[in-house]
Amino acid sequence: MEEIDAIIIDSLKNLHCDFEDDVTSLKHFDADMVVSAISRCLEAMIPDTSFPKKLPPSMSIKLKITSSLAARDDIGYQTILYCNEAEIRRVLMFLVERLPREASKVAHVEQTGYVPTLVKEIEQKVRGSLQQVWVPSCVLRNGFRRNEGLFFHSFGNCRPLKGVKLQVPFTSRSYSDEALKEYWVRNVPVVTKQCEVEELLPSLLFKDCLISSVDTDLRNCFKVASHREEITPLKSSELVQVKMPEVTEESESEQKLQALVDDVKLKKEECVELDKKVKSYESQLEQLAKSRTEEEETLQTLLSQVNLKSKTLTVISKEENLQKLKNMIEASRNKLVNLTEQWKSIQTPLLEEYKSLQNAISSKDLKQQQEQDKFKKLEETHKTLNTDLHEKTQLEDQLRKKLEQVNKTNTRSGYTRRILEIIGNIKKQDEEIQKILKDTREVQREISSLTGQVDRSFTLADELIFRDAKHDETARKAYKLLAQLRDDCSVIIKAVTDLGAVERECRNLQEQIDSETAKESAVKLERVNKDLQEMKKETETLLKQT
Amino acid sequence: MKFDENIKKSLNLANNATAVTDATFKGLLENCFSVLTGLPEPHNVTNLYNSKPDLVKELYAALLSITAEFVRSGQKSDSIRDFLNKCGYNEAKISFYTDLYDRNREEIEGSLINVGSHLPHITDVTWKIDYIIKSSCVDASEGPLFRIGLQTEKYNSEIGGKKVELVNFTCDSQELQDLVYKLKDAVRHCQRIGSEH
Repeated sequence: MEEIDAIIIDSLKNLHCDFEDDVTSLKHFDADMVVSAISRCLEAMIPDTSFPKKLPPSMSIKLKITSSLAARDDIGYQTILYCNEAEIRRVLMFLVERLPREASKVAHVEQTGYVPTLVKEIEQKVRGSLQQVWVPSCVLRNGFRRNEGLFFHSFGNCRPLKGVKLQVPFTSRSYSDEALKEYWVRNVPVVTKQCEVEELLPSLLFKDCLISSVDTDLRNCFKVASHREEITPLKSSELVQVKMPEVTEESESEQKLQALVDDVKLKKEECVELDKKVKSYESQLEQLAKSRTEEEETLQTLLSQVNLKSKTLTVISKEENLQKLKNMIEASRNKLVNLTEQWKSIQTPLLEEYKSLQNAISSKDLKQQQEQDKFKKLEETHKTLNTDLHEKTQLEDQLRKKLEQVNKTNTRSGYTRRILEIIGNIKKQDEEIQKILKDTREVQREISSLTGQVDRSFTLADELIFRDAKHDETARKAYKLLAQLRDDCSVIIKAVTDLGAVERECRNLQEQIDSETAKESAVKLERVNKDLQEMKKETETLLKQT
Repeated sequence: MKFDENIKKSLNLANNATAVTDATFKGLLENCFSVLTGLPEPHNVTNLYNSKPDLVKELYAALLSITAEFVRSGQKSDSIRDFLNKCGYNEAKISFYTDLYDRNREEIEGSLINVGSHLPHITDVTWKIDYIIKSSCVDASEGPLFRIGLQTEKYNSEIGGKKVELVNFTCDSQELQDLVYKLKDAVRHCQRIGSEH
């Protein structure tokens, strides 16, 4: 029985019945607990229904609830209110057997990975936000509230993304400029003071201006652009300022003047043209002078060459000199060959050394490269392993939690072991029962044989004495005594069998008494009486109220 | 989560024990988190300068930047611990930072959410029914006319906060039914997403 009780209580606890931990058997159940257990079971079986979990103090409502619960099965309100251990066990076993199985199934293995976790997170958020109580958005600060997570209601406070270029000192760069340092130390305000509070976050996160003043290429570009601008301005050429002659009275003189002015203008233009011509001629002159000097230089070089050549000719014309020169050329040639040989002898080991050194450097470089690659790979693997480890530990935690839950609910091997033990016990008991049956059968056989023996011995004695009674007076007396003895013996045997029957009956009665006392009907009757009185009182008060 | 090398250098300044004492660091962090959650600074920064104002300014800016970036990329305190370890911070500083971070993360997320352009947010609806009894037009639709006013909240740059605006429109009963059905459809869809598994 204890096993069954444990199983029932365990499965009820899985249905979120909040029993105390020290409740280990159905003996400790009271009416309240029975009601909550039954209603939880019914809720689990029939979705979208709800049943009362607690009994109210009022007696009539109690009766109503219990009879409503009981109407669903072959039980009455009395089973719940005046609970009997065996009956409750029967009802709860019936209910637990019919519970839907999915709830107790082992949870399916969850996938890990970016997309499934994201989808799960979205589902959780949507579920959470659907369960939230509505709150007017004017009550919320910044349009969100915290309730086991963030829930956003209104984006009315969202200001568009707009940042400010923040001035931040950068001290790790060496100070080339004392004035800049002074500016950083004294004048630059703290970043929080450089913009409004609302603009701080976007300015910190996003740099508006990607062009930095340190970029030299950009500077050069700007320089070129500004240079061009300097070239373009127009030459404010020497505009001729003509003083207007004073106006005289006569128009003729005016005309004359006009003619003169025109003349002057013409002359001026001519003058400008002549100026230009002069300039061009001057430049021509310069060029000519230049070319002349060049020509003179070439002439001089040619002259010196001619001189040299004539000298050599005179030298070469003599035979001795020629021979000498030839010897000299030979000697110098030999010397050159010697020198090249020497150079080679010096050069080759040096070259070899150079080559070997270069090889060594290149091999070292290669090694370094390889090691760097290795290092990079190792770093990457380290990163991936770290993330792996993180995911795995999370999974492990989840699985461990699940394992704990599973362990709590489902000790399958334990149950099977217990079941096997129970089966063994039953077998033993069966054997004992068989033994006892055999014994009783033997005893019965003995009894029947004994009674047969008794009967037979009586009849034998009867015949013997009856034969002698015809002749003998004492034998007649003995016959009479035998008959009496027979009657007495039969009376004794009957008494013995009667005694056995009475004993059996006694035992039966004792058992009945025990079972009745187990039902505690007296206590229950008292409770029923009390409840009845309460009901009466309630009806009276209700009547008074009406 | 990738940071400029310059920011790491700036963060390294906190390891300079003479210029940045522990008290200064704590004050800066407290300032940093309360500013990012939109509250006033608890300490006056000028009192934290000590001998090197430029260093403190730089460190303060770097701390603000990394905190904002951490929250933006949704970092857990483990990875932050790794990052700060790489910057050479000692255990006391790191745990002080992560403590503050865990406490204020959701608030800062809130302030981050409040950056951006969004459509107006509906808070309330006003409605009334008109009925055309007589019209000079032949093709005037029969039946009741629904005048719906959606009360919406939208950011207004002049006020610097949210402003209630009314979006008014008129529809006949069929159009209204269509609208209501679509809204109900949306609600059902949301419930289905929430109830799966």
